[in-house]
Amino acid sequence: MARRGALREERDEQSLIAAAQRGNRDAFNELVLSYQDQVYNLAYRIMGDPASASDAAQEAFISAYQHIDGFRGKYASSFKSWLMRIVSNACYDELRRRKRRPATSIEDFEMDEEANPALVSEFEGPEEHAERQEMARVIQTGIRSLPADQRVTLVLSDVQGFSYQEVAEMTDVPLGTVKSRLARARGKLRDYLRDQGELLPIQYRLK
Amino acid sequence: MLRLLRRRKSEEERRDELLSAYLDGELGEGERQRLEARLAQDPTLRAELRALRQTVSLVQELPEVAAPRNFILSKSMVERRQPAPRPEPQVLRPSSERVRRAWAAPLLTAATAVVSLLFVVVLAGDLLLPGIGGLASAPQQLEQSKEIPQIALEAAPAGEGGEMEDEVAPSPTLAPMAPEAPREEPETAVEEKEDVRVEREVAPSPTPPPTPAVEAPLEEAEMAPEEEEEAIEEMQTEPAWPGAETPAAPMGGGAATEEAAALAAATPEPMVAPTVVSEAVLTPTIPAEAPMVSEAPAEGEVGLLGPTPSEIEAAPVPIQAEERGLERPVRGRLPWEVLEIGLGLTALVLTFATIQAWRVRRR
Repeated sequence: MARRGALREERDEQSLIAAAQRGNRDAFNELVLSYQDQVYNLAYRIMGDPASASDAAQEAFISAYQHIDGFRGKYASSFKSWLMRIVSNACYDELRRRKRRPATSIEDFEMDEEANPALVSEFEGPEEHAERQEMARVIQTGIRSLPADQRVTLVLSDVQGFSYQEVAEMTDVPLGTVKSRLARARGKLRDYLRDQGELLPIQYRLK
Repeated sequence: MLRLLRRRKSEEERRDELLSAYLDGELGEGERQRLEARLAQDPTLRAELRALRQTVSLVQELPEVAAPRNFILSKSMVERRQPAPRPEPQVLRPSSERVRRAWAAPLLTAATAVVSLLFVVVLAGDLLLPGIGGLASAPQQLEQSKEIPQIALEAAPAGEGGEMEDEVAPSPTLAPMAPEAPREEPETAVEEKEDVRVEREVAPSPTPPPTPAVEAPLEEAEMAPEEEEEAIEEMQTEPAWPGAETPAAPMGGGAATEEAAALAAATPEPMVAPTVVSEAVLTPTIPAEAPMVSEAPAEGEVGLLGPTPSEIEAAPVPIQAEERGLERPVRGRLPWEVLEIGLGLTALVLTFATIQAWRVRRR
């Protein structure tokens, strides 16, 4: 039953993609609505702040619409990775642009996850929730300290859950490069968390 | 020291890479077993693995963040940037062509200016050179009369009539005549040319053509030279016969093609009586010309056929020329004529090409 539902969804998505490829903007906007959370989430984890994430997500959707003729996949999953690839490229480009012209302001480091009600779990007490928020903030800051290519690789792999092979295809690098980038990113993040030491809630401290 | 640090770091990196791949189950069987053996003996390595695993799980557990707003594409978002994909295949080719032509426009302009100047200089030289100065006006006139049908032929098919006018103006000698010509239909121009030919063929031959196919040319041919002028005028009011040319050409032969008409007139090698013809061309009957030109507009139909009156002039001329026996200067003048006509035509063709080039560029 659930499988049949998924199948129908996939078929719906295929027709939406086909319509979008014929220039139907409404059809494409249907796809936007069903993917915007995932897209924004990826952008947010790579960019690290809501404003940049929003810009990158919008940029990515526009780019996806303009290049949808180039999408030739047959399955819904391939559309997702096609879209995510566009998002991560948009983020990566923006990060490189910033590296050339660094304009780091205080606001960039302010994160307003707390303000997002979607994050509040109903099984969490207020204290636990605050700790979780604090931890997320720390990790996000740690991710931001990584070089752009490692950042993108880490987010695609550990946040989005793409396989090495998928990440390699999305970032246009060999599998071995994905492996080493990911290892370096994780190692640096581990070191960063270690440095935080006692600033972290007890249960999150690295042992 | 530095090298040692770097080596240690790379060792650490290699260790992390092993541990990281191990966490993801991406190690080969042999590698995995070797690492597990090391882990069993090395507590530090175990601690590193634990820390790394914890880090990865912290990242994996990061809460999913919902989009703070909708990213639906508005029409303006897409319109502002979309023009690229759709018209691309159509725009691309013409634009490259456009670039090529745009680049050509200034060059063509320069070439046109140079050739026009040369044309003027040659004409002026022809006019002012002592010895032939007296003869100058006739060839000049003839040349123009020959050029005009040519203008019409080139300009009219492309529908360039209006613009041609302006562009011809720079070469002063053409200015008075040219504006009339381009407005004509291509057919008219061809007709005229044919008229000229018939007329030419008829004029110098004192005897009737051997096998006249059509009535009119035959009549003309049989007429006395003095009557020819009238006959020609009559002919022009009637449509020209494309077929009348060939049979009525007793001396032309192969050279009597339509395209070559103007040239044939200029260089009448195959003609039986070349001297006579060229005399006709050169005769300096200025007084005779003047009345003709002024007559032309009065004749309703002929007025439409702008250049015709000037062509008619060429016809009556031979008669007078023959009478005056002006044979001498003729031979020396021929190259001048060819040069002038060639330059004039080149200037016109260039002018036309320049107009096109600028037009394309402006678009």
